[in-house]
Amino acid sequence: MTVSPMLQLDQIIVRYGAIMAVQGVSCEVREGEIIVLLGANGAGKSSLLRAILGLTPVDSGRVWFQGQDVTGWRTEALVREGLTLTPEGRNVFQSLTVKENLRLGGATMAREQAVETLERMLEQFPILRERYDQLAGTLSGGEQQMLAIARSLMSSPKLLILDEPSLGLAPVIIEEVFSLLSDLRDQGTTIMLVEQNVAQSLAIADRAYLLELGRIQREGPAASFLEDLNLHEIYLGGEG
Amino acid sequence: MENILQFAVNALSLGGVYAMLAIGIALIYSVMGFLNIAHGDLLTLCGYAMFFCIGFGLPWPLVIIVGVLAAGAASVAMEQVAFKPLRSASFDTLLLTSFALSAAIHVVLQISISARPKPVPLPSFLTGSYKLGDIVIGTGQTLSIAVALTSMVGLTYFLRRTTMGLAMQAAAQDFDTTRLMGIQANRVISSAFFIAGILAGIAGVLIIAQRGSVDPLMAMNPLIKGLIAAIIGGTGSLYGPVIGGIILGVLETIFQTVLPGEALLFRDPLVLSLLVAFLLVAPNGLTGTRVERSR
Amino acid sequence: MNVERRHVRAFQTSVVLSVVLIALVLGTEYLRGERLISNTDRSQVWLLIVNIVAVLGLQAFSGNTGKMTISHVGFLAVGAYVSSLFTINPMMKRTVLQGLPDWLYTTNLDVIWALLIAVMAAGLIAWVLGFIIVRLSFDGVVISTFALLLIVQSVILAAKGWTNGMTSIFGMPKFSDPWTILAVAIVAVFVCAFFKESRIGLQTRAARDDKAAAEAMGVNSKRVTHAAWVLSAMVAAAAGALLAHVIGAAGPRTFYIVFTIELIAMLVLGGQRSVTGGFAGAMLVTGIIIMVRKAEGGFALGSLEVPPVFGATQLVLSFAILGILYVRPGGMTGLWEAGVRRLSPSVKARPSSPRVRGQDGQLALEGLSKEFGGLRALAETSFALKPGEILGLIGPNGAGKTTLINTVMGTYFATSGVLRLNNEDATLWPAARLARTGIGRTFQQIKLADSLTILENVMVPVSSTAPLSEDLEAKALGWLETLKISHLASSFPGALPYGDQRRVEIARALALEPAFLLLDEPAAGMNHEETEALRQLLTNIRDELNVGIIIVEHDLNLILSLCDTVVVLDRGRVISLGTPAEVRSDPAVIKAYIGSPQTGGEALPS
Repeated sequence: MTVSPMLQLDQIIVRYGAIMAVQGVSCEVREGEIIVLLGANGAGKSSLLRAILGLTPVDSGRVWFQGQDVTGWRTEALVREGLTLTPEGRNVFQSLTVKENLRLGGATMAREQAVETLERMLEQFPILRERYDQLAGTLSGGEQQMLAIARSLMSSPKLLILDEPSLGLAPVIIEEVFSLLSDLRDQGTTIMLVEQNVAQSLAIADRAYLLELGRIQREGPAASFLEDLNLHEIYLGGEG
Repeated sequence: MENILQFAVNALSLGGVYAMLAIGIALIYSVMGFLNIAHGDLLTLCGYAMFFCIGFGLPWPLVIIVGVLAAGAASVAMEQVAFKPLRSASFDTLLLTSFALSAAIHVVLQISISARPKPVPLPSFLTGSYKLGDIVIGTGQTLSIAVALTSMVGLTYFLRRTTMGLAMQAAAQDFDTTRLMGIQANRVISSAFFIAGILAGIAGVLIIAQRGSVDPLMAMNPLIKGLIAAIIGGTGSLYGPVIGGIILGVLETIFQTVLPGEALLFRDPLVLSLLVAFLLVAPNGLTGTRVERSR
Repeated sequence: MNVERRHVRAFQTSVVLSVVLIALVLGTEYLRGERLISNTDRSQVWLLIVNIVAVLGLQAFSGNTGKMTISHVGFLAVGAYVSSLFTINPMMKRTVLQGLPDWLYTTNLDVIWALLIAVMAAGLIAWVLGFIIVRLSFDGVVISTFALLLIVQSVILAAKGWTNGMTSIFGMPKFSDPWTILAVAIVAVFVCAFFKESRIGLQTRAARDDKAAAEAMGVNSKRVTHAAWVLSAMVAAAAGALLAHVIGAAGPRTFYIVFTIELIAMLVLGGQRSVTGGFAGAMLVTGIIIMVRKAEGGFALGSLEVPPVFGATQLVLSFAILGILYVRPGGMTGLWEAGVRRLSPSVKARPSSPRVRGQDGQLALEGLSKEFGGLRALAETSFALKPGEILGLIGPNGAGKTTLINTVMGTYFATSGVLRLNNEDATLWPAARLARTGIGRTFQQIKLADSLTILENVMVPVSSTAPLSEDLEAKALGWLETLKISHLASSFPGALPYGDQRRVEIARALALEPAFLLLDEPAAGMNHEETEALRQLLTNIRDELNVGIIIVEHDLNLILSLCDTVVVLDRGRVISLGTPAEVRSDPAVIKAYIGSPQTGGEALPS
């Protein structure tokens, strides 16, 4: 019996005017794994994620989620199906409190379930309980990132996509974020991660894809990625 | 002393009405990114709804409720009919659309009803006065202040305590991320238009109670004042438009008191000129403008 | 001054439109002479011409700056009332108006002089108001001009001694022949068409499409917007004065909402962005108005009696505006101008050979810091760049590279530290001044002016730095030729592939003849061939023009093979500075890019 993957991308193309930001990307995320999508800036990662979530139109290609063709679905509908994205750059609602941010995260849930999930989140992220009634804008960068992740988890997603969760965070905090993601996977959430932080994200991932100039250049198990790949070349150039 | 109290009541009652219009304008602006010129016409439509209800012989509490709800409904309808098809259009196109829409509403009212004022006799206690010690205070003014205060408390509750209210604030900051919460963009937008319409309706009842009549172009002056209150206060928060409205109320009352009879006609141009000049100092208003223009 | 193609273009447009005006007037005169039309019909045509002038005025501001103004009917009112006050016969003035100063009672001028005074008066008022208008955003302009319209209206009503309040004033001479109207209209056509193609007009249009980019090309966007505003008010006032003398009266209700909507409808329907559009829109809409007005009075259509409908004009126009916005937001004409044949630029304009000012100065950052709120995006950055040197700026996402560029370019100012350009303290210089003094830049997201041709795009920086005697087109074409893209001169940016757009941006920055060039991710989105061509190009620019280049880029191959010096930023700080080889082997850099060694750094091939 073949189980269809959680998320499957088939030849996705995304254009912005004259620019083809994503030039035919195919990949898949299976249930219960963490995959990481690596690539330097400008490789088309954010465009791809926005397109999956329906925030940017897909020019051609198909998106399959749990065996269903969801290409062109509205963002709101996808979130209700259990697909969610934590966008790049800590997009918490600055002028709302931590509590209000979390409440919006669970906006699609039934009341009792939202209360229950909220309690779980506060247990998982004790810092958020401490800051509960503070405005999100007053949190530190790391705390905001935790809040953004917790907020995404409030809708109990089946697949959580994160766009550069380590961006602009101090190394200690980055480690904390990644170990959290690893825990979440162990609790059963499937995760798709887009990162520039190669070493640490590969350390927690099961499989990896390398995106360069809008195309998948390489894919494979995370462990062998480190050995196979001349990352030095990709990130620091030259003959390596 | 009496003068000060009298002055304060006059200024606050005027300011409260402008503030309610300004809040609605700012709400649409922060969620949608454009200034809705047709917003003032909601006030007019509320007036005509009340005119017809009185014609049907409805009791006045019902008249007022229908009037306010009509403004809310008209606001939502406006969005559905005129703005929704232009969701991806530029902000200046939307503004121009609202301008043309406003013009169309004026004419439809003129053709279908009349260009002349229609009487809307609201209960006399709305326009009467009472004595507080030696001071005569208008019931209408007192009521205006009370209603404006209640509306603002209610709005604050809505914005801070309900999911839709929170979503509306979130959408004003970042529309895409709000959608990522599974919140439906269309519902947020419709709700914003409805709330703005209700506030315009309440302001409409208060204004019409003072005037006692309604005509197609009556909203021009309140509209421009609401727009200016929103702009000088800043659309970034709820307080901006309120402060803007009160400043406007205070200024108008000052000129009303200070100007000699002959020059009273120059009150409005003077107030408007002052406020336009104010934009020179603070082009983004007192509390700043925040609007997500990347939807 | 040289005659350039843009002047030829403006002249062609003016001539075509003038011929239409002349034909209109002569045709009317002929028909009137033959008694085929009535005097009323004749004045309808004159009113049409007045409308054309009014819309040309509106277009001069709204079209060129992209900002919607609602107040222009107010300037028409100023024109009408001022011109009337100087021409109404003294006897009449004494009986109707009580508040005038004595000298005005006795003044009685010819219409043409009164019209000029009216135009000057409106220009003066607009000049003063302009200081506010130029500071406002799109929305701010809409609101304040709306307020302005109400102010003018209330002042007319209130200042009874001057305006007769609600009642119209009359008694000014009425035109008995069309020649003054025709002459004023032709002047307006020429003025507006040539303004659009003038240096200021070009700069205004560039600022309309992208203000930040225009300022980085040395354009003082406030100044040029101010100029467009004053000119536009003056043309509107001329229309107002004509109107008063066509009708023989001026009243407050003429100059209010309905007329405003009519004028905006004319402009939007015709096409805001071209003089021809405004002209054609005025003709079309006035035609509609005349027909609908007839319908408003009720008429018979075959056997069908159509009842009179009051206000139908406004309704039709409102829906016409709505309709055109849904269907064709650019109006009938879009960017098209009458009489323009697209001449190939290489045929006429001779490119002048580009040359960059001799430089020996340097661009130095001395402890530059920038904070947003409490967040330190850039911390005490210091380095210097000499002409003829290429400096690469790299660092992970969020390292502060764009902040650095924007701080150097005057997009915002440093919180502390000093920026020195050729030994002058340039820390607080605005972008336009930095651009004119010698720093050119390109943007991360391409910011070319969409409605300007490639040639015009490159003419903008030339126009803000070159002396008036300079031939803008020749010079700009010279730069296009240097970058081997002169064949694109008459294309629009939107039609070009990405790599070409990048080249145009570089040509545009070079046209400032800068000593230094800042390139923000020039290779982003380019394929390998395009990147290679870019590398060649930048090397040539350094070697042949002796320009100092700062380049921000993620393509490290490009950086390492191109740059003399590399600066690595991380979290707002310089973590490494040196030759490409030094930076490459710096452990701090490897750590910042690939991650801490403890989680697998050792596994990296060296």
